[in-house]
This record gives sequence, structure tokens and C-alpha cells, in this order.
Amino acid sequence: MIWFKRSSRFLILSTALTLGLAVNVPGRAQAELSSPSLGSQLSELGENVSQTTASPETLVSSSFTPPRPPGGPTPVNIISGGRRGTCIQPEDGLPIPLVPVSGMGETIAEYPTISWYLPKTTAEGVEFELHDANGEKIYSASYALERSDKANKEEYVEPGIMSLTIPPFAKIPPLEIGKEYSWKVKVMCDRYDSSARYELEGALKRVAIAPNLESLIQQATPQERFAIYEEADVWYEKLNTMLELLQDNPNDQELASAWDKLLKSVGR
Amino acid sequence: MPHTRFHFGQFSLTFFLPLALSTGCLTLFSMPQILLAQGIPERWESQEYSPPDDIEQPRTTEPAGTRSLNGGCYSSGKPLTALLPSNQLGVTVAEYPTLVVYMPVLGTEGSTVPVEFVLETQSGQEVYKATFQTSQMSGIVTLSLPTNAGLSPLKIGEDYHWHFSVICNENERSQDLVVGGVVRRVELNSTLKEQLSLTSAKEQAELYAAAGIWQDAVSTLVQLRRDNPKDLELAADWEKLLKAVDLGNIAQEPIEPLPTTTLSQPQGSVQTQIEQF
Repeated sequence: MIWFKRSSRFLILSTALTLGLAVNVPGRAQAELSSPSLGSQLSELGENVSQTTASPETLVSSSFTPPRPPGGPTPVNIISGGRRGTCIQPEDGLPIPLVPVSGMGETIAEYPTISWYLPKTTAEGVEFELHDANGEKIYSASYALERSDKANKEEYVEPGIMSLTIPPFAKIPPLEIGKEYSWKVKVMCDRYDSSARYELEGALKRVAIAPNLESLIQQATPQERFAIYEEADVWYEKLNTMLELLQDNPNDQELASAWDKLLKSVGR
Repeated sequence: MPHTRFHFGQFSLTFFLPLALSTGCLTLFSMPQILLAQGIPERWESQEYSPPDDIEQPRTTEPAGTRSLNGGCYSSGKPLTALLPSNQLGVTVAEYPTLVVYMPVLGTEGSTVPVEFVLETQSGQEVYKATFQTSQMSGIVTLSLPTNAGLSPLKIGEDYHWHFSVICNENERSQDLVVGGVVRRVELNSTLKEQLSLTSAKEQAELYAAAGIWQDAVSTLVQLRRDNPKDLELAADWEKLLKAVDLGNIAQEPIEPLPTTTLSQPQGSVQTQIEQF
């Protein structure tokens, strides 16, 4: 709770994004990751999923079309929405939903965990919504974002990956197998002006997991779990496991410096 | 242990008694104060933590044991209840505490009921709000704050108001059934911190309870009971804790079971590991 240094947590979380962005990295930076250490192992994991990870380029193209209800409000995609906000400096990049290129990822969870990347921002809050295939809102959460140390003159939200789990013990009906859902994250620049915002969207489909895999997963190490999820191509669990691996190895300097280099090499 | 020494003869007694006494004294002196107070208290008296002056009594409009109609909410049996001491104050050491309520069956069977959970600062500024549909089951509901979502953590020494509303009529929110109270984050003292790091989760719940840290005692026990539904010792601890705050009547209510797929939620366990750094 209070013993963990927050800034380093964000740095660690941020590293995961690097792995997702590895596809954009020039050969030079990739080569520097190739020593046989935990850092490089994780990077390899990252390279494996990078083909399906949202990168800035894929966000610019309009290939991302999550399911949405007929007659519903026209969604704001990240680019047009992104221009509306004023609380992220262009040089800091844009928020990124951590979803496959298609926008749609699978999950085996009754109560999944959804993640997105937020660059350095002065945004005040986040609004999250989960809708079913009929457009019915089944869960929403809005909250104030944590700011950097107040002693620091320039107060802002540290960049990093944010994850939200649909609460499993609050009598929310579990997601149904075979059904599709869509989610939306609004990054609110101003508490009192809802038009100043950035919007992110993603979709998910709950799938059944083979019983033999389920027992396998229960005994697996995080690395093995990652491999199982990758094989089964369940996006959300794959991503969560990667975040878990990164969190479990917070002192890996190689990961931290690789992140830094990769940030620069992709122009962020 | 002490009673066994009377089985020895006179000689053994004279030999062992001083030994037992001195060992006892040593243990007494070497043990931190907190361990001596371990266990779930019989009565919940929070002398250490007094509630803020502006505490509101939540509007519980529903009489117990009767069938009533409140907007769209039909209910029977026990009322919607926040699991809190009678002064409505829950103390926590967590950045992101978990709040607990008992929710009866409300409304017609098979339908979902919308609810709202709000946490705000003492000055009324909203920190967190979740709105969701709930299924028709009565039992203990845990309201957690997300740990990895960038949410601003509770500040040490500050009081926050929270409420849980069952929305009976979306167009007439004055018909909501509302419960709630105050949550205050306090600093975890080093003695307790050390004790917590050395014990099992069950003993952690007892340590929190003994230290008057209600919110963490109740949420730790709820989680333990959910994970170990057949553990009678935990059930007894749970009953004792609720009786200490005059909520013994809901001690037998079901605790929401684990989802069938718990595999995909590394966040909680990861967070725990990280928090220990």
C-alpha cells in the first residue's frame, strides 16, 4: 500500500507498453535487448504479441471497429477525440487502448480486467463504461486521477498503464460466454467541461476455456500461463499476465532502460 | 500449558514453576504490545478513533422484517445495511480500502437492480463513483476501489464519506435506499506493520480488529470466508466481529462466492506482493 514507491510502479507498468510497441522499434534497439536475461525474455514475449497490439499507426488507420448498438451515439475515435482534449501535450503522445488491432479481444473471465495506456497528462479524471451487445450499460466507474507529488510545482498524472477489473464480488451478473461487450474510457481534462476529453474504445468477447487448460493454468507459473494464453489467443488474460510478470520483476534495470530507449526510438 | 504442571510431583512443581514464570515474564516483555491485545473484541469501542462531527445518519427508509414498497423496490426481511460500527466510522490503513454492505433481495425476481457506490471527500468532492446492475441474490457485497487504475489514493488522516444506493426508481432518486458512513485512512504504525507481516491472513484480521481498524478487519475476514467457506473458526470470528457492532443478525448471510474463473485476475495478488516492498 504505502511501502511501494508509486513512481516506480508507473515506470514498471509503462514498460509493458514498450513491449507492445516493439514492432515499431528499429533493429538497433531490438538488438540491445537480446542478452539472455529476464529482460530479454520478457521482450521476446512482447515481440510475440506485438503483431496484435495496438500501435500508434494502427490507431491512425480506421481499422478499429468495435461492435456498437444500432442507433447509438456515433463514437469518437481516438484521433478526432484526441484532438478535442487539451490536457495532453502532443510531444507526450496519445492515450492507447490495449487491445488487438481489430479492437476486439477474447477473455475467459467472468469479470475481466481492461487496460489502457495514458501518457503524461493534467487530466482530472477517468470515466469507464462497459456495455453489452445491446448497448446497455452494465458497469461504469468514474474517478479522480492521482497527481504527482504536490511539492512538485507542475502537477500532473504520471504516464503509465492503467487497469480496471469489473468487481467480482458486487453481485454484478458475470459476462456471458459467447457474448460480446464493448468498453469505453473517457479521459476527462476538466471536471466541469465534459467536452474536453479523450476517448478510448475496445471490445471483448467472453469465451469458454477447455477444462484441461483450466487445470493446467491453475498449476502454471506466470511464464507458462502466458504461453497457454498466447496459444489459446485469449487477449485480455495474455495482457494481464504480461503486466503481472513486469510487476513481479520491478527491479529489472534492463527493462527500465529498454523502456526509456524504446520511448525515444518510437518518438515518444 | 500452565495447568499441566500440577500433574508433576512437589519437586517438579518447585522446579518448573519458577521456570514457567520466568519464561512467561520473558515472553511478556519481548512481545510487542499489540499481540497482547490480539483477537476479535467482544465489544467494538473505538476510543482511539472518534467519528467526525458532521457524520450523517444514512437514510434507511426500510423497516426490518416487513414487506415494503419503495419506488420500484420490493423487499422483505432484513434491511440494506452497511457493515460498520454504530458510530458509522470505519478506520483503514489501506490506500484503497474495501467497503462492505449487506444487500437483501430487492425488486422482482429475475430482474436486475441498478446500484451506485460513491466515495467523496469531506468537502463533498467526488473521488470515485461506480454504477452497475446487480443480480437478485441476498448477501454480503464488497465494494472495492481499483488499485491499478490511477485512482487517487485515500489520504492519511482524512475522512471520506461513502454511500451505497439501491436505485429503486431511476427518475426519482429520492426513492433510493441508501446506506453508508465514513472511512478514515490512518497511518499503519511500525509495530502493527511488523506483526502483520509475520502472521497468517486470519491473524491479520484479528490484529486489525484488536487495533480498532474496522474496515480492514471486516474486509480481510470477508475474503477469508469467501476463500474458505467451510472453515468454522473463521465463521466464529466473523460472527464475533459482527456481534461486537450489533450486527449479529446478518452473520449467517451468504458471502458472494468466488467466480468460477479466478485465473484472469492477477491484479489483486500482484498488488499484494508489490505492496510488501
